Amino acid sequence: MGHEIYSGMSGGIRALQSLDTLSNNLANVNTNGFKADRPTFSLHAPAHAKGVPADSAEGRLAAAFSVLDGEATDYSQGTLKETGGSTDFAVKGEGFFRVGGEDGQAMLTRDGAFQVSPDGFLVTRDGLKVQNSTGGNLQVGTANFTVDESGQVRAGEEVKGTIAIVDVADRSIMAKVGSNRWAVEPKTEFLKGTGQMAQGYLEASNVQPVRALTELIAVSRYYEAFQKGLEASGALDQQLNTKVGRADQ
Amino acid sequence: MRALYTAATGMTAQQLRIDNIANNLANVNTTAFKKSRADFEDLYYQKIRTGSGQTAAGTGRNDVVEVGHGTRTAALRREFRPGAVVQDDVPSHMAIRGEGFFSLQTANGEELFTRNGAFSIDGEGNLVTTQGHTLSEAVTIPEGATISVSPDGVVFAQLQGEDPTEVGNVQLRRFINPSGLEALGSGLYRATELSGQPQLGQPGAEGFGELMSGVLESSNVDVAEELISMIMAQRSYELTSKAISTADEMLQATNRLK
Repeated sequence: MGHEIYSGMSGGIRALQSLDTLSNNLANVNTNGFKADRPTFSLHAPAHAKGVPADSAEGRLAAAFSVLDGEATDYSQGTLKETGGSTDFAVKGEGFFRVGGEDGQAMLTRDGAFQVSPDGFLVTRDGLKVQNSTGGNLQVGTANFTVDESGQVRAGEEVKGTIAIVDVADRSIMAKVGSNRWAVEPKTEFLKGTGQMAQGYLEASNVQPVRALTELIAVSRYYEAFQKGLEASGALDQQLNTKVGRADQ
Repeated sequence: MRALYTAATGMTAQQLRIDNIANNLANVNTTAFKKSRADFEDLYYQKIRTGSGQTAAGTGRNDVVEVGHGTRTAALRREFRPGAVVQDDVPSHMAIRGEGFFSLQTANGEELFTRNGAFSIDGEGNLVTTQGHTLSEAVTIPEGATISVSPDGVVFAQLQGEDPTEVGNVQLRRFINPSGLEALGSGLYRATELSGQPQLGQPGAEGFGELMSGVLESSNVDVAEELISMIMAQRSYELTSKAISTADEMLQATNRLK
């Protein structure tokens, strides 16, 4: 028996894993600042086929396992929804809000539904302090403030600081940790994000229903194809067992 | 098969969103009602493969494989934007044009806050709410007097044939984070650690709204906006249910293998 039955299996597992990711995208279709994930796959050559040139016919045949080898997050802009709240923000363009981080563990988010803490800091809904452009906390003192496109916060005539929009050189180091946030390595250097601040807006999830449904159809058809492959492979094995070695054939 | 449970969290979230929209719509005519908005967060991610930390330059590909577990409701945030002001010509009715809350004393001495200025005058001449809570500031209105309230909160009472006399002074409270107030129903709120302590101020002073008498503040629910949210929630519910049916089809296919 050949290894095609296992190649089929790896394809099936791949489809199931993609469905988990697609399902998470769909569940977060209304999560502010959510960015959809796209599973990526690569063909994996089994160990015994190493040394066979990948572009040869043998190589292509041997490269028969597909593995889930990563995830690409789609960082495209979500729609901006107007809320009118003075502590609601969205980033237009590239960049992230930087939150937390007194202990050096800053996290990034695109969900700008902030509030003012009783001691006057701009915080996330679970109390992480929003960082200013110099890496410190942002004490606003009141919820009566206006923020311009550069992120500068003014309460009346007084400038309270600038809400940071940061970015990283290589976004693949960002890991989703839930609560609409990404964690980065402790000593990551932040760049200035090129996006603009929009006060009174929240960024909707960038999950596109049409795309999500198409992906669901694709994954379920893919799974069917894998099943057909297994059936065909099973039928071949059956023939092998019944026909080979019989002298009268 | 995480997908089934992940999709279910999405459907639960949409249900809660509909519940919240229904409550907003039910209160479209409630005096000084403040609508809430449901905010969602993604759940934790399970690393099913830890990355090498290396990526091919420029591909933007992350070789860490993390699978999310769906969504949860992060907060039902109350929005304290003022509602429109509706005239009803009852002199003891007041509305705050801008920021601030009336402070009330309950029968057991607790301080509560409200935006609903539908006060009436009880047998002792106090300003009381429909639930019988009295205004924290002492205002005593003589029997038979007609009252008027100045924009900065001074209450005048006028008996027939006499000049108006000052009988009290209504002050307002505000909070650094009003969305942290605990809503008790009947338009009443209680201060919490999240909202911060009430700050006292004269109506019309910096950061406080002015008072208007003979008017009431209407609900700040925008029907069109709520109906759009309702359509969105319903369609999102349907969409997420497709993930469940796809997962189900794939499981059926698995069972047909042997």
